[in-house]
Order: sequence, then structure tokens, then C-alpha cells
Amino acid sequence: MPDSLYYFTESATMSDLNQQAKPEKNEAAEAEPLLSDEQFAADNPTLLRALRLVDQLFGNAKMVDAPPHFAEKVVIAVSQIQLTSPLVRWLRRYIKFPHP
Amino acid sequence: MHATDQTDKQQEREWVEASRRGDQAAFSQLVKMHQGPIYNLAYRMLNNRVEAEDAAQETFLRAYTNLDRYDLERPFRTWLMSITSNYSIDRLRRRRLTWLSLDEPLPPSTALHSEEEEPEDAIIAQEQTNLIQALLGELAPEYRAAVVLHYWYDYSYAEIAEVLASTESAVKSRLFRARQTLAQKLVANPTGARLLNKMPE
Repeated sequence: MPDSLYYFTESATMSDLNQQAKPEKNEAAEAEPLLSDEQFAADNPTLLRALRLVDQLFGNAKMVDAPPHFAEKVVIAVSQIQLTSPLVRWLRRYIKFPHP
Repeated sequence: MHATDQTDKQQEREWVEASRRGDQAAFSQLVKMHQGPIYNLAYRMLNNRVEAEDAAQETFLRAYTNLDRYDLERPFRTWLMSITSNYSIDRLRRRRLTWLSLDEPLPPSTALHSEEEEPEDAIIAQEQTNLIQALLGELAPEYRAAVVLHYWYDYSYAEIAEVLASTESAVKSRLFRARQTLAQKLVANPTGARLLNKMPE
């Protein structure tokens, strides 16, 4: 497991998890009224076909599979977390908890 | 709900509870159950296989270390999706300057074609795959997440809102605008323009 991954994992708190990637301020765009497809394509009819093509392309796109042995790698990383969790480190330090 | 769905849910719940007790084999089953959708979300968001693998792995590690705080009444996959989305959005913001994704094409093994396809069909499929990623790369991270959850997972507005900790109306608005942005970008993209020209009226 790379060091950076270890760092992220150990330092992740619930507040990190719950902290939503807050929407950035884009108030001007958000304030604009929503246009129907026809209004949107009023000046350029090609856009109407483009919308259909977007739906077709994205609607038919397939899932990309996880790489081989992904689950095994995760389990190895989990084992390493368990070995180095703050509680285990505390136990090792203060009550001579044996190393595995 | 189908009986098999119910059984899967029950099995999933048992694995979650066992994982909370430190059973790594049970957690491994959870990873196998959800790795595909989680990796796909990360890949579609980040458009980079290495980063996607890292993000997917990080998702499972964060989930594992916070399992005791997971609400068992909530769908486990939705919870994982939230972690992946947030992590990917943050990561995208950190690399904002590299957004000009002259996109990394999918490896041949994961391209959207089957073994039986003719070479020409395979090339077209690969082109479309690259186009999709290029268009996604044009969207702001929150819009991108909403689009991926909508098209790939067929999530409802309510489900997307739950994953992104947003409201249904905000999600609806994002999807609406994102779709129109995608259409504009598609017209401006050479591959997109060519596909449009081939499209029947």
C-alpha cells in the first residue's frame, strides 16, 4: 500500500466522510432559468439532435470493471490498517500488546 | 422487492455485521459485491485508471474504518457511492488545472466492444468511449457525479440527492443543465460532430 493511501486512511474521520464536497459558487449559472429542450435548441436545431445523441451515448455506455485482484489488494490494505490502528498502537505501547 | 434482492440484502447485512467484528473474509465479500460499480464511478469521475483504482480502494478502506458508524437501514452501496463521489470530487478540485483531459483511452480489455465485433465496430466503440469520457471531463465535478449516477446506475433524483447530500430539485437542475452542456460540447467535438452527421434525422 502506498504511503499516501495509508495516510488518507488513517487520517480519515467521520467528518471527512460526511463533509460533502461543497458545491462551488456558481450562482450566476444556477440562477438562470432552466430551458426546455426546444428553447435550448431554438437557435441551433442541431442541438436537439445532440441531446438525443447524448442520451443514446451515455444511456448505452457500459460499466468499466475493476482491475484484476482488486478485492485482494483491498483486503491486504485492510489488514495493514488493522495492524497499525491507533488502538493497537496504544495497546502495544502501554500494555506490551504482542506484535502479530 | 424480489426474493433474491431480499436474500442479497440479508447476506450483505450479515457481512457488514461480521466485518464490524473484524472478519476480513466477510469484508472481502462486500468488496467483491460492490467493486465493479465503485470502480466504474471512480473511473468515470477521474478518467484515469490508476487514480480510479486508488479512489476505489480508498473508498473501501474508509468504509471499513467507519463501519461502526454506518446506518444499517441505509443501502450499503449508496453509502459507498457517497464516499467515492466525495473523494473523487475533492480530488478533481485538487487537480483542476489538469482538467483538459485529452483523455486517457480505456485499455482494449475494458473497451465497450465484445470479442465478436468487427475491427471497424471496435474502433467506433472505442471512439465513442473516448468521446464519453472527453465530454464528462468538460463538466464540473458535482455535475459529473450526477450524470454518472443518472446514466450508469439509473438512480432516481432522490437516490442521487442522497449520494451527493443534496436536494432533489438541485439534482434535477444539475442534470438538466449538464445534459445541455454535454450537447453543446458534443457539437463542438470533432468526433461528436461526425457522429451527429451520421445520425438519422
